Amino acid sequence: MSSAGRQTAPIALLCAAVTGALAAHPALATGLLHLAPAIGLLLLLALGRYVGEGRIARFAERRVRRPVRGRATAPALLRARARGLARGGALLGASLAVSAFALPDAAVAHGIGGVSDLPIPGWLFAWAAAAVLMLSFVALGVLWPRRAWRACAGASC
Amino acid sequence: MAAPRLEGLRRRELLTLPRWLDPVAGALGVAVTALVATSALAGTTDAATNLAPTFVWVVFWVALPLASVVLGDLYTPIDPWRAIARLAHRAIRRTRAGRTTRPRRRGIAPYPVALGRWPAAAGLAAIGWVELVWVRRDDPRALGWLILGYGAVQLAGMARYGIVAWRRNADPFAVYVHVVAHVAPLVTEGRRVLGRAPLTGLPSLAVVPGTTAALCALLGTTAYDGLSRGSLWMRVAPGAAGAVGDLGLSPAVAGEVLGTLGLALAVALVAGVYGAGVLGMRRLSRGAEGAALGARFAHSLVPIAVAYVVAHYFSLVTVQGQALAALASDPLGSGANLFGTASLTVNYGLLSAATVWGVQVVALVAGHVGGLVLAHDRALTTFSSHRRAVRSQRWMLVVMVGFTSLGLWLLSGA
Repeated sequence: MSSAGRQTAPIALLCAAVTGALAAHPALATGLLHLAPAIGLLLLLALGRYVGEGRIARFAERRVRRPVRGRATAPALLRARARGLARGGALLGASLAVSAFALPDAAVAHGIGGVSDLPIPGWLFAWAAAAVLMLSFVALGVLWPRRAWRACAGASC
Repeated sequence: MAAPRLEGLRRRELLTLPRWLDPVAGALGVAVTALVATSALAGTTDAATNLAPTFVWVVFWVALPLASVVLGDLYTPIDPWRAIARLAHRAIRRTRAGRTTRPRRRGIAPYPVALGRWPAAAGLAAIGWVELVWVRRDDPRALGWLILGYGAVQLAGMARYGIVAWRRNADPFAVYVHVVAHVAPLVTEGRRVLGRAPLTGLPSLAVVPGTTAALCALLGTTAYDGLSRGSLWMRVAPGAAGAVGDLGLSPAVAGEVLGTLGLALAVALVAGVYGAGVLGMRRLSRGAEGAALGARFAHSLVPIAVAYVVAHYFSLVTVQGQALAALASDPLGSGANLFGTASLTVNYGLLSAATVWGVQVVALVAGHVGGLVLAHDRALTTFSSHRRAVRSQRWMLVVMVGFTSLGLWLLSGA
């Protein structure tokens, strides 16, 4: 904890500096709004708070223990991964549905122009994306307890 | 080297390519390159009616890597400089074999290991600079000389260090395509085409020195593309360019200086965010060096780089790519109509703003989830326990959320 403690101060300072710099200018304020989830996560880490760590570990342990009784490990892992993939796909589909729902035809007819006039504020998309990533992180922690992908041998790998 | 793999991840042999395909693809690459270079150097100087600018910046620079993300490395078979080098190699070997029994590989030096992919990283940053900063980026003549210069450098490098070693490390575009092709569900080994699950090729990406830098250069230049089109840059740039211009530079040069600074800043920002994540993970690994740890997780940046390219350039490819039909019929801009398609026009309304934004959001989120998966899997072998691995991944989560939010901010007009 001592080495971690020593590095906490610079990270907290960095967070404060980034936040201050972004908030200082109105043009950068939207950036701050976009980056708020990342800054929040970084602050938690800087403070040494690993929210939900125990719960992820408990769920992951339960998942590792269960397959040993029934089937061999590999198919169980594969099933877990398939389920994880299905959930990831559902999340992606949901985000796609949100973005499609969020943009009625009024926003069309711009061609390849920018999307500066979204009916939903842009930072909301950033927050939704951050939520998807956080869910993926938890899902990986619980459903992917062992190394599954290895380097393959061969010239063109 | 032969690490055991899980059953479900075994690669499946799909088909064997015919022997004639490689030389034919090489000849095609040489022919197309000759056409584009001729068009650039002898055709019209109007960028919109000359084939070269559209071909270089849409087909070569964006569409070919993106196609390789799906179909595997497509550049290696059609690389014109590789084809020429192989032909020259064969010719030299034949003449030598007739004369003497000296060792044939006498002229080829081993590629310096420490140099790694740094030349490719520098080259990718340079190509990004030409594309986004240089005033003459669309000038066909300038592009023509750049094509020939690029080829000359690659031929010299391949002659010195061998075709494969040079292309794996130093040829910027070959490295770019080689790296992103690890995402593809298809891989070619010799003439065999193997199928695999997407992304599962990335853990075997050889992260030699400079690979992380090359990926940061790719990500940074794409981020700068978004930044330089956003309202923030538009607001800041004129004043800053004026300040640079006060030093006695012409407005064009002042703009280039400012663009160069912006590009360097974007690359540094990307490298800094990744570096901060690695620094955080290092707190949890006992004894691992920062650089080594950075290299261990560099492959998780590849899907992000692909996502950034898709998000920033797919509308360019689908819209400006349509111009190819007309340009191919009239490559020199001389009024020719080779295929009868010279009068086709671009349908700018093909993509709605909603479609573009939807693809951008989904590409960014999917790419970053892919990065998280790869980093998580790598963490399980890097850290001593599951708990430590998951803990370390909180840093990667911050990196990924940061990159996603940054990308969305830049794409929504910053």
